[in-house]
Amino acid sequence: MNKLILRLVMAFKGLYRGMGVDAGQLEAILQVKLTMDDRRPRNVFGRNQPQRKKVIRNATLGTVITSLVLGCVYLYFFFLSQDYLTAFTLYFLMFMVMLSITLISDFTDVLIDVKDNYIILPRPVNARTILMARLLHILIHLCRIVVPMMLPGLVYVSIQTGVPGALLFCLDVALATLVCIFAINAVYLVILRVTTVERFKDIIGVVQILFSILVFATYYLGPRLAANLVLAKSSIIGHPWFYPAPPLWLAALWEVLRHPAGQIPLLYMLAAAGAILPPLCIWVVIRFLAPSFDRKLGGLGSGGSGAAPSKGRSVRRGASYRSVSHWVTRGNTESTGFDIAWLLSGRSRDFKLKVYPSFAYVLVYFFYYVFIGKDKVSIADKWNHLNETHMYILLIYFSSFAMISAISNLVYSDKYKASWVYYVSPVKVPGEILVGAVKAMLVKYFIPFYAMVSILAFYIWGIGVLPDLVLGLVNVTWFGLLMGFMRLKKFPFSATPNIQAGSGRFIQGLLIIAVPGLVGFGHYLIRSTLPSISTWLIWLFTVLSVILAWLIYGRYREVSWAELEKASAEF
Amino acid sequence: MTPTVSIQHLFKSYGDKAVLNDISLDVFPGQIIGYIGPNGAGKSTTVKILTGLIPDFEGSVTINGLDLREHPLEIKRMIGYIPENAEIYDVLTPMEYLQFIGRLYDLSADTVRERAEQMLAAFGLKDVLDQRMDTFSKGMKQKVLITSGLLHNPSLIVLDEPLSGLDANAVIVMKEIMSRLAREGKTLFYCSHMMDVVEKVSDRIMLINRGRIIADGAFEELRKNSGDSLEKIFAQLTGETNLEGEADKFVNAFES
Repeated sequence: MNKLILRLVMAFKGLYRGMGVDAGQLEAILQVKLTMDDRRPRNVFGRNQPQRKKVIRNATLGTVITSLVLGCVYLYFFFLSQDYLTAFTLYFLMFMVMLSITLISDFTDVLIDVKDNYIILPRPVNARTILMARLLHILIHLCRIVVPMMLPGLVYVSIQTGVPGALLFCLDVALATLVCIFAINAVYLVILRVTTVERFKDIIGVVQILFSILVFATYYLGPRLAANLVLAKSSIIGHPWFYPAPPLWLAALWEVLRHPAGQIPLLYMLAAAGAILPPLCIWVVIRFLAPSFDRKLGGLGSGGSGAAPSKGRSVRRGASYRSVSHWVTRGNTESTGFDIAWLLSGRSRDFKLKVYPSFAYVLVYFFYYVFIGKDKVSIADKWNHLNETHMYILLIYFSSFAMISAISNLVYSDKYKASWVYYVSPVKVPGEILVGAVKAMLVKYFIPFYAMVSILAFYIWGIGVLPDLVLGLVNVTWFGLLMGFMRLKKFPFSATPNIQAGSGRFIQGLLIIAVPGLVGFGHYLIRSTLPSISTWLIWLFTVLSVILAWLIYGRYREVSWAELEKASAEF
Repeated sequence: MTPTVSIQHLFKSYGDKAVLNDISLDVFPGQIIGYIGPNGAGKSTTVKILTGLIPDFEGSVTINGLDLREHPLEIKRMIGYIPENAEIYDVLTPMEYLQFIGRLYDLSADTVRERAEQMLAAFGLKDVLDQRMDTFSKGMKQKVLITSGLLHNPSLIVLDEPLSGLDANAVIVMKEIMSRLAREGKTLFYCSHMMDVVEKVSDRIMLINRGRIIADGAFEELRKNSGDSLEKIFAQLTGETNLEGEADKFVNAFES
């Protein structure tokens, strides 16, 4: 496919030469860039699965297929609503959110490849060739996502409304793409303006976390909310808070151009916004944002080499985690494990990218299950009757997944080789380090999160759920320890993220997920079938859970070098 | 004879911090210049200006009689640069990478293949020509990097710590390559912290400190004035005469 794309792009050789571009060099750069795209692991979609194959050959083909599948999923909105305005608004909403996310994570790799400065800049390549190569690369990249994503929609629209409708749809897609490019450029520029170049990638990481939460939430809650919307009002035009949203403008543009006469004035205004604002945005990008963006990027390379005086990030000494560590750990080895897990988890981009979203997923799942249901009850009604249910138990046990995710990601790091220090230092019982690390996860991430969840629970169900929350906390603590004991016989940040999980470990993983499910179900049974004595039973089980947690804790703390080795052989 | 490199009154500063402070030097064909100095002295900055990575500077730089500002592309064509931090597109294979570099210099694919095969075979990399470099060791990548810098037969070769990561045999090969290239009339600009290698390889040594050249001459000349080894000369000229004292401080830390 790359050859075809390259031939297509290089068909305009004469044009490039006229612009002062060296066509041969342009082709060489593009060819290498496209090859590298094919071999690079993808960001957005491929992140959570362990990489099955070590050698990545056709990463871009994956992107194309994923985009195509997503394009099919968006067709849902056309079946949901017969009103084209509503359907198109929701369609373009999903389309633009998804496109922005894909681009924002990929652009970091495409644009900020600092290696270019060392590899291409010392060679006899002129600035125009480099600029043209970058522009064409972005364009190719964009087409590989946009074209397959719009294809299902295009087929549907052309069957339903014929050629004129399909052409208008293409116009809308082009405008939507422009808006996305503008949004991303603006985001990048704001980030570059408020921060130093060194922190840029960190902040992009935060943006990626926020976006992946957004995607997850949109996918689970979006259709339900959309259905609710359609249920409540016949058209999206009845919701004024949608007026500033570009997807509505584009939908309005389609509607107005399709049926120019007899629309309400508001629709004409929205359509005008849809036609005028996207090109205006791009003009702003070209005129104001792009030049300073390139200048900043130029600085990116020279700043990274250490030639320019760069201010290192200084860290407060005797930070607060030390006193926390002192309170919750026993002995020096254990607090070492606590400290290292606390510090590295806060600074490893990969860990944050994988774990932080899972905390948000807990809430998304919860609301998904609260609002799910085919019955035609509106979301407001469900919310009002929530306090009569036992849904808080669901909330408590869902939150254990966040804890499990934190603990299972604790072992992975790109810099896993640095873990040799554990093996050369005189650690007698490695279990103490592991226990310390698990405690750090509990104190740093889970307890603050659980406090938040508790506030939510108190707000909805009142103070009566206190015993349940206490039992839940103890239970999640021992889930975490059990999880650690069964799967985390490895030092924190000591394994490469690319290892393959064996089938035995997969079954183990299922068991670990089943435990919170079963315990949660038992908890629910007590509450729903024995209302008279349930509070007493809950307290009784809390005591039993504390004992259980204590036993697992003691055993985990004693994990020896031999056990560690045995576990790593199974890994 | 026109100097290969002629730098006159070169200044460069980042913000209010002066990195290069009035550097002037002439280098002639066939010379190997050992360019040395403490960390942060301005070595890398000089190299980056020479290779066109830093376009804004004060003063004049001409290479083979051409002004660096006016003829950047022609000059880049004459220079072979082997950078210090081994930046390389490591998802490519050595052959793919070298083909790419070759095309940037308008070399034909056949020429590149011939040269690359021969050069990498000399480094013992013949069997891995078509394997992706992401599994390569640091030394193997360095060998590909060296090859990529010499592929187009440059007349001025700028090497920044080129021996890092190389095994002992490759170091011997590389030293021999450097002196052969100099004998053919090429100019080598060699930056390194390995004083013993610089001492043996270069026929002219330049020591810079805080953005100024503080010593310039053959090793024999420098030896007359200062110590007997380049290490000692280096220490003396950069003002660090009490290095044993520093070592004392380090070791004494155990006692406090």
